Amino acid sequence: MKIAILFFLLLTSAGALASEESPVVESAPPREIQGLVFISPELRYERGEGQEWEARIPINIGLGVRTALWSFLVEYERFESTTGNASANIKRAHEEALLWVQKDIWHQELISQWSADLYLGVGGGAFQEEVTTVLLNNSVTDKSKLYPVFALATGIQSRWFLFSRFPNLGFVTGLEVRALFSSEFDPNPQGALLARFGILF
Amino acid sequence: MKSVFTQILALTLLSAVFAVGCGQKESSEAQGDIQVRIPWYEEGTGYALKMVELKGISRLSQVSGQYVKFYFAPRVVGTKIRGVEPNAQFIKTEEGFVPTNEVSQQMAAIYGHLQRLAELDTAMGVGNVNTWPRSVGIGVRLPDGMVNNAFYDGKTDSMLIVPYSDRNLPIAVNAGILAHEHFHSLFYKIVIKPLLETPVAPLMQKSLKNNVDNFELALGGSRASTLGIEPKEFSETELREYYHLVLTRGLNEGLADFWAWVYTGDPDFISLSLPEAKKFRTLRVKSHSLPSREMIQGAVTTLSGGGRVEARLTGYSYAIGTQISRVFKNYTEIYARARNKTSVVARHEVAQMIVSALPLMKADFLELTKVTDYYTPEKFFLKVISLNKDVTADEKLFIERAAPSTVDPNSNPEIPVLPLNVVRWSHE
Repeated sequence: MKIAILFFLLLTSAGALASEESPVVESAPPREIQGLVFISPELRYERGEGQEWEARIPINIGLGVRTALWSFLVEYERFESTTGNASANIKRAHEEALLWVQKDIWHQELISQWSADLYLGVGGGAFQEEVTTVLLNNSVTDKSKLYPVFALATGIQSRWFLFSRFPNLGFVTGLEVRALFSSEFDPNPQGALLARFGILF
Repeated sequence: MKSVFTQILALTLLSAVFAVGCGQKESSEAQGDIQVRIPWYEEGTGYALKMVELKGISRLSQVSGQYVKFYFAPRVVGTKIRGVEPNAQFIKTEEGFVPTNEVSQQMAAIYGHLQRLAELDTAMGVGNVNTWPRSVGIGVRLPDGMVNNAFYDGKTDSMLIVPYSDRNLPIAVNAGILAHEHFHSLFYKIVIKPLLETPVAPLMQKSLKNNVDNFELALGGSRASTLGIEPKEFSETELREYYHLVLTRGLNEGLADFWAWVYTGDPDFISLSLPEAKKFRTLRVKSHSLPSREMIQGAVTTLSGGGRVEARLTGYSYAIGTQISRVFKNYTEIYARARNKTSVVARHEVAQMIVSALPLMKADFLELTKVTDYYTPEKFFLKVISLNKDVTADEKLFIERAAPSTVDPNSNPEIPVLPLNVVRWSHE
């Protein structure tokens, strides 16, 4: 959440800075293929031991390449949960990596150098879990094998190119809903909501 | 062309979803005899994380099978407990399954211990007393918010475990406490339930029913009841009634502690989970004194004169229970030494004598028809000993000290009363 706030501040500052740099000269359009790095806080729910819903909030980081209509992304995320007490406890760590292909299905230029896209995405990858079990003064760490994950997503994102001096430098913000499929997920598919904050270069 | 491409793409996506996303979780599919990593107690080495084989699993995702069926946060409905199906979580490794949270681990540990207790029951000749799988409630929420406790409820024939909030070994993985609660099911089925179904004297009915009703009150069942004891001077009939209430409760608790020692070999099985109870419930104390009739009568009369009568009588039940279990433990140790047997063998042989004597206790209760008829711990102790056809000299000496009526009918040993705050765990 702090990182999201930081990005918003950066964007606001950039917007203020850009407004000072009045476009006396027309800025050049960004190049067709761009790199992208991003961070995305995510919210997903798992079924707990009493059938209740338990929230997980991993932070998703990634990088990729973007063309006019397509994005090719690599994502990594991790979340942990710990249950028990000082004498007997269990720490579970979930790690997941996905490759995404996204296609813009709708594009709108809002104002100069600011646009919005609606996209669909398909992803695939794997996850693994590590469990550290502690009992009194002893602990044992176990790892699961890699399990495949398939994902579908849709979202909306905005792109800003604010600096005429750096026409390829832009910012991305977006909101995405995704469904993650794996036989080991509960529920399956697992729904997730994430906010994306990125830099285009 | 575009339409064909779209159809192929849709088909590919659908196939990928089915290939990857469909199918059962590995823990849902796991059945039969399964290795699971749980906190496990072994005599001599104590608690450690081990891969333990859980047998007869039908659904690992609920940790249900031949020995246990779990209910999460159950309620009492009639004579059954009803609750949400638990959703246990595991990862699968090459060695076996590993729980990913505390509740899943506790369920697996309880299953493992009840599986071993079933084997102990069979070895002791009481394998057909209980029906399996046993019903176990976890995450039990009581109206008073009680924590750090476990119960056996006779009416629903279930073991119930409330949340554990201390920093020590959770009760749900404490081998001795699970054995203690399991014994209550044997005592209930062999002694209490049959007596309630026979025309035993009305005053005995109330005593025996209290052993059952105490828990039902805690769960807020529709048939909740209390003793309703107000401080007063008891009539002879009332004194006899509350005497037997305390005595049956004490025998139940004391023999349950002894059973826990039989199962674990640890005379301080309580302390890892409830260290504050160790001082009052340890079985390490060398004792030969069984509570006498006069002492129990005197204590019941005294305790009924102040406030919180029911809590005081319950506390006293636990005190005489501890005394009874210490005497049986000390007798077992003498039995072992006299016969040059290992502790494990001696514990099992004496335990077998005890469960064989339980039906005799039931028969003795049926003979308490006159207002002057009283049952005593000594009577039960002698019934147990009577099943030993080969009493040694050392045992005889111990028996004479433990059962003074066999030597001196005027003997009257004193027994301390437990503080009220220690009594809070393990109703039934």
